Amino acid sequence: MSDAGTARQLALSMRIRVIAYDGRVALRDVALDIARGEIVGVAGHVGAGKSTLALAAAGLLGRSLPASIDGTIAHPLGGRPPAAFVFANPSTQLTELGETVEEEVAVGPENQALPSSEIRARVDRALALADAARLAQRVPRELSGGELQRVALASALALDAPLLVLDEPTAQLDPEAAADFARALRSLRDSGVAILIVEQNLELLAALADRVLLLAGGAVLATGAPRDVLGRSPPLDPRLGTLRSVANTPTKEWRVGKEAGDALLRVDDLSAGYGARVVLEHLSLTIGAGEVVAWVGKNGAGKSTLARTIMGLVPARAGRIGVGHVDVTDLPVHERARVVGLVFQDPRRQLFSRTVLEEAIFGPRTLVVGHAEAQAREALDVVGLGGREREHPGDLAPPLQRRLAIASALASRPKFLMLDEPTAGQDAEGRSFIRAALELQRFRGAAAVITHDLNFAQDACDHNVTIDRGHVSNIGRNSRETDFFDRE
Amino acid sequence: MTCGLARWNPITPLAGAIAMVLVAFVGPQPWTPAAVLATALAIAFASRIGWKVSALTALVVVPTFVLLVLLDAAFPDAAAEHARWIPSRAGTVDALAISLRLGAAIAALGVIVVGVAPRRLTRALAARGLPSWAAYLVIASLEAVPDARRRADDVIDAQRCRGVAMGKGTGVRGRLRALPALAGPLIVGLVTESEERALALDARAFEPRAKRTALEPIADPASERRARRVIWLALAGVIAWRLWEFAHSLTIAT
Amino acid sequence: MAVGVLRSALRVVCYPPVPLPARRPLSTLALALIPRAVALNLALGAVVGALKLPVYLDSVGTILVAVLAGPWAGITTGIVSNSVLGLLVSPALFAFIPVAVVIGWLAGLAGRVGAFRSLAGAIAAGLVIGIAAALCSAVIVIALMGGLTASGTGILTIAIRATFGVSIDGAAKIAAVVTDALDKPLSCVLVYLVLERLPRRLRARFRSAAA
Repeated sequence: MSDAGTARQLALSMRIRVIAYDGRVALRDVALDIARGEIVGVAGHVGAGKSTLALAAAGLLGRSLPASIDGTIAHPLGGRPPAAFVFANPSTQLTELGETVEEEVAVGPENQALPSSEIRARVDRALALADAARLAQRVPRELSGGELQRVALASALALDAPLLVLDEPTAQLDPEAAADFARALRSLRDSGVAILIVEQNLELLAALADRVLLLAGGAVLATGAPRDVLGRSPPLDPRLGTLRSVANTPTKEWRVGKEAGDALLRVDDLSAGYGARVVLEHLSLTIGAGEVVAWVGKNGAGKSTLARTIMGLVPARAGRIGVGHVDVTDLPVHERARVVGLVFQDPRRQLFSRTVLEEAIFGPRTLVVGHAEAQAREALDVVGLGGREREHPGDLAPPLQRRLAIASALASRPKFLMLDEPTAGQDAEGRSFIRAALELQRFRGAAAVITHDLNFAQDACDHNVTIDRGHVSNIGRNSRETDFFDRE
Repeated sequence: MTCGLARWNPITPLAGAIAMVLVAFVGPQPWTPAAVLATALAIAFASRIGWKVSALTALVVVPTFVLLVLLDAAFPDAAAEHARWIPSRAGTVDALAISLRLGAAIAALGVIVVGVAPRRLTRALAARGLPSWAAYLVIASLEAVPDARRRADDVIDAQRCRGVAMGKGTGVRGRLRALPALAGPLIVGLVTESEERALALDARAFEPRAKRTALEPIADPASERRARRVIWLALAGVIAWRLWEFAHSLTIAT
Repeated sequence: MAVGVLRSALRVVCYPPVPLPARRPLSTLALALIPRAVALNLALGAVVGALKLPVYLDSVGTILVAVLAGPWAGITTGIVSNSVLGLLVSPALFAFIPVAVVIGWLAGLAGRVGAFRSLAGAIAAGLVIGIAAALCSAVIVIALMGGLTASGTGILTIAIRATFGVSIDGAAKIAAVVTDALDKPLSCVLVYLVLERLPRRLRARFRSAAA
């Protein structure tokens, strides 16, 4: 193939010397070409510059997000816009201009000032490609994360750009939704779209990408075939880890906690719900002191409701909840917070202090426990934020904000701690810090982790409790997930 | 809501409502406002939104009327000849005039506000020249309100889990201490979210000042455009007539 | 056509030598911020209203945007906020759009001169905004509603007239100033506290977008 021939097929030709924000260098020395019908993956630890790379490739830097770019970013295939983008957060990337899914997907072509018939054609095609056609008349607010992300994909596809860039699109999705999404991307690739995808899920990347770029500290560490780059043992970047099928991670050596003893959490015949809707029915559960369990199950099964009911945010309609020797069923939330802790999925719902340390101290100080500052510092160390006490929480990357939220719950030293999806978006380093926090919690009492990440559950938790339609349906271990497209 | 108004291009009833409001204020008092109020309510009931519009109007007009009468009765001017606490005829008539004007304005606008979906109205205006950024602002704000309420609920939950006491039994000082813990994440979260949404708008090729087309444009038939022209002409006529009368009365005085 | 007439009318009204800030187009960042600020106005206003205190805190969003992104963004927030209120609650609230414009404009000017860099400055700004907003709303209430609204301010107006024997106009103005003298400084203090807690790079981002 002649040079002219290949050049015509390139959706992206990028040569970056330096990209910096406010004088801080985020990315340097990157050369990247992506042709039609290719999927290029980008992996790297938190803060390595992956999002910067993605935004630069899509031509989105320098508008709402000011950055100084030294280099060239060319889109030889043209297009207005030359690239479409899918963000990690399913809901904040919607423009709110559409009352229904169909109208939301139409926003892009409407911005391109196309005639109505053309807009209609684009919308229908985009919805079909993203496998979201049956969602067309639904209201975005009522959709699940997985459905929303497909709507976001359709909205991006409606722009009909030759290049599609995705920044951690499956970070907030459960495994089933993530597999569906990956399937949609594969058929897009087959139809000639050029795709650049940033992902923390190494298995997904390995199964999907034709080649992978590994970033570390703002520079390219390696490029090549996925197995070569991601499947090394020992891994090229220990912060990132390696593919599980290759990894030889001993799973038992972490277990240094106490022997499981008396029941720490006792839930008897619990029923709870929202208004007329009953979510939990006659649910009974026991967790022993020193145990860490995973709560798994499909979306909507009641895992979050169970956590909120134990915390007291949702009143129990029947049944009793005991922590240690205390029956907490009738305690108000702010009293229960002394013995029970809950960390939500979105850390931004609670961060408001000026420094990381202030944020961690807030819990113990409000509850008026002794040595609030000492406890806060210890908690920060455990999650790997020691040394960053004076930083502004808003300046931390989202995965670090999540660890800060965990630290501020740990600092109050609850007997029973619940974490809701703590590993979403974390790299291997972050996951090991969260595991350390859970190990510490064994000494204090017990913990429960709501998670879709069955690999993490197997590493960090003693056993899985499956919650299905408001009951406990199974207690045991699940088999490992080694091949991402197992389910096909 | 099956409403006859939904069939029209929203700008036409809007033009009508604005004209009615202006006529109510400018036309001969007090029977013009009364006529406008009656017409607006009639249209409302014909469009099956009569009770809602009446409720909206009454909610503002009735307390205003009562308070005005009270004000006049309680504090008569020195020149008045009636006893205290008995409403005077002049005062009541004044109060009635003011209340009727207010009622006419609210009823006329209320028909639009209740009868026309705000999104549809905004899109119709956008098709006739309202800049894209203005249309975006109105529609996105309407969406953002329930979102913010949900976010506030989440923030409340998260802070309660950290021991912040709320609800019954919390003293004033406790509630004041809770305020930064609640307002803080809410406001900071909203500002941070704006960054993401701005990027999302960029990614969707949104240009604040560029023209946009629509998936399903709202029809604007010639008959409606003619009707609007008639409305504006009639309004201009009324205003001109009243101005002439006003000028005439000035010259008579001199 | 109607929009064109409105635009011309605005141009006529704004001609007098009032120091309007130089017109800069709104950045996409400001556009994304304004709906959140409007939602903040409505949400805070509703929450505080339930507490039955003599404050509204329903302009916090407007003031925040004005300080972050400049007077024009503040004015726009005020207009959109009251328009949405009119659409969602009652058309009577459309009448108070000029008040919101005054708040947005003055808060933006205050932000430009650095009033929000200190607590005292924020309170001072709040007093100025409060008096201006109060007078503006009093004028509207007098012109359209005979001087009284069915609210705490209305009752206060009656009380003032009774005690001091001033005219209805005067009483309405005084009552409005008293209520706003509490509400606006409190709102400005809240904005000041929030600004302190924003990560610095966010504040810089807005400033560069507005400048």
